[in-house]
Amino acid sequence: MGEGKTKHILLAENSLEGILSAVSYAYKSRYGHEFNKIMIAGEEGTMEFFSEYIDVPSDPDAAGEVYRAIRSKLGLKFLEYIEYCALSCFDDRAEVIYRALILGFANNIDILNYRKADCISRLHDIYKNVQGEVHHWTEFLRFKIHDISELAGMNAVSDGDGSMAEVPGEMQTGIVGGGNAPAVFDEYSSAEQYRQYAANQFLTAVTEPRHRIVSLLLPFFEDRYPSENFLIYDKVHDEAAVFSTGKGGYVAQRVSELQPEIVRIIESDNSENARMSDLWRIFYDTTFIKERENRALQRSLLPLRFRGDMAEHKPRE
Amino acid sequence: MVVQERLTLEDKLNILSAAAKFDVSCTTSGVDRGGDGRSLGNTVAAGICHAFAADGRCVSLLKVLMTNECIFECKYCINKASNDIPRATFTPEEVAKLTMEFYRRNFIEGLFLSSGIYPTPQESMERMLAAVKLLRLKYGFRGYIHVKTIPGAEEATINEMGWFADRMSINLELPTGESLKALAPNKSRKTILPPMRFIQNGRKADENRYALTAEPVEFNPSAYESSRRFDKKLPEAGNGGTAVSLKSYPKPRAAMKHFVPAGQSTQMIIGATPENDYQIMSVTEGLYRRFGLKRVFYSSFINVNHDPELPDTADRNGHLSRTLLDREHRLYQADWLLRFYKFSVEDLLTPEKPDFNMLVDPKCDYALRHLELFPVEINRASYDMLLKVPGIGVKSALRIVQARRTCTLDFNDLKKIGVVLKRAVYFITCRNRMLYPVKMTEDNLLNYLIDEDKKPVIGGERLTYKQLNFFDLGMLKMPAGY
Ligand code: SF4
Repeated sequence: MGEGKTKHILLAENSLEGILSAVSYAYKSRYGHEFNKIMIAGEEGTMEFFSEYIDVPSDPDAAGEVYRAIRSKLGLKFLEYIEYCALSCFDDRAEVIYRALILGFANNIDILNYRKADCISRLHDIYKNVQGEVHHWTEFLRFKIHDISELAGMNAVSDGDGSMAEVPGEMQTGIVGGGNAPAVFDEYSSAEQYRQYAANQFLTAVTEPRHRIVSLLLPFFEDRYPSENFLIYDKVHDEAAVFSTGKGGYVAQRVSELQPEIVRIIESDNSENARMSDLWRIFYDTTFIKERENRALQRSLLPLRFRGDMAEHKPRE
Repeated sequence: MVVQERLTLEDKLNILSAAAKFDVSCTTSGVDRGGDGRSLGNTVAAGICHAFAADGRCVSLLKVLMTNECIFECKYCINKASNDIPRATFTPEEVAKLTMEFYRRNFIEGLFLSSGIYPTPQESMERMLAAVKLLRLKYGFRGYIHVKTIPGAEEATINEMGWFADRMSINLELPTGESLKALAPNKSRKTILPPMRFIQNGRKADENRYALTAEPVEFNPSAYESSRRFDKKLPEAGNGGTAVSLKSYPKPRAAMKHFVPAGQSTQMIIGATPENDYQIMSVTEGLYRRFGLKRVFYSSFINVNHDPELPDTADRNGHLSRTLLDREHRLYQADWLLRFYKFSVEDLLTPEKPDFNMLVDPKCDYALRHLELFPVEINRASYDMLLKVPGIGVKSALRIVQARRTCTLDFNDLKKIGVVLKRAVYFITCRNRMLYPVKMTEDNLLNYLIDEDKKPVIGGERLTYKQLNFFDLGMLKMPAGY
């Protein structure tokens, strides 16, 4: 270590904001980038000797400044890479971002194509890894459908504005099949009836990703399901992407702690979901051509760890 | 016919998905349509797979028949009229329900709807149209829909379907008119090619309309037809395929924005009839060039009806024979070369050598037969020529062309920009030098190029190109396990 100067290990909060706050701190401290290292608080591992550990709390203003500088100087694409990196599970993620930023800010280069630098090639690897996982979950995430009345009486999963459970009272009772109206998916039902049926439901899915990808899954499913209320729960990181029609989406943290009710609902099931899984299973089983069986190919295409929630891979009763 | 009263949805799905499974085209690619922010569904051009069946194929669409009742008697089909099997028919609402509820659970990307012909082609088509319109109009479904065109249905109905579906396909079934007649006596090129041409024209008209004005105008195929002449016919396509309706059809109300935006595909059964690869690929080329198809699929024949007049393609364990599956694989490889590598059928096969080499892929085979063109100099060869080098793909060729603008490339540079040299190395030079000196003879190169698992051993000797051709002609016995 240079002239024996003590190394500073900056401990950032686990978010892009936290990391950028630490980057800002590193610049402002003028301690010298070569004597700094940024890590995520709680992931220090074994303490390094002769190093000073400094907690850097998140500072929205400082982080915002860096964020804007990245956007204007290094471009949106690069920003996306940084965002993906911050959401990844790799313990060098903060340091990779830090080094990439130093390089980008100091030199007038096409930063993303500067793969010669270790931090940039690492950034690409991480991005690809996260993106791969996002793609897999867009394919293999499975939703269950619940009646919105199940949410009655509980606080919304929210970051404060309480959007999900704010359902007008009259919509909480099942309009579907009630009174003399024909059931949905009946010849005599109307488009409006279907619209209400869907509006009275919400979709839930559980993922167990390595990276914290719910915020990256959100835009995909927002585009796909604009007419549905839905919630994607990441069991591993205990966070959820929540979307309600007409209101948009957000990510909620510490879900099981703050909203144990919703986790219970997510894990509960109902007969309609069971029936649809059965129907799917029937389809899946019959669509296979025995003359072309190729289990090895199937395995290589669908790694076992994605099979958790997929009805077609559940053991048969 | 076994008449079954009161089937449950489960029973029907069981029957009607089993009945549909032999249709291979299961791609959802070809149209990128974002959500509209209101109703359910989008499509993704790159294609999304939601599950993989035990045969390794991607399951991304709910693939079912509207009905497996059929008045036709196609010998390769389990649903043919004379078969005594359980029959079922979906109501349009049932199809809509399954599609919607599967889609909302993210089981599928959309629907692939086909049908047996019952009671008439027109009525079958109308029933499918009813299901598709329900999905689009009543349930606001914007996901992917692929529908089969029923030969013999009326143009007006096909037109309407085209405005609600993403992709349509009509199966050519067999590579020649004669085979079609022999195996599918109720079908003919005259009922298959005109609807294919009709949809092609509709798509062209749609594109032109958007090129000229932002506002949709009336669809008028004859106006389009007069501006362009389709005088070439499919090889052996007979007289079918050029008839073009002079009537024009309106765009229906509340239709989707484009007419069959993901284009058309078709399918041919291989291994049931005696056509060689040259004949099959010639038909394919015609379909791409003259009918503007997006994809041609090849389906290895399975003798589901145990018809004694048709070949048995299964091995002892009931699996499709390796030979046929390998042939199917070669056809797909060659198909790829036609679509993306600027090859023509004549490059790959000739009437004298009408079948694909089973030991090396079609591109290597081409190179071996055209050694006079190789090695090519990476720093000078045209893009088209780079594409013809074994081991160099479209991506690599583009990268080379880009990279060599700024500097002269060497083998190390190629590795750096991600060009895989394994096969290419025998066919290229960098700065006029080969990586290792290789004798440019067929026999010598062949041994480097044969797929490892297919390398036959003849008394421990290296295989020669001549012997290879004997294999092709069936004059030498294939090694065990092949
Ligand atoms: S028309 Fe021929 S291929 Fe189609 S369902 Fe009927 S018998 Fe089968």
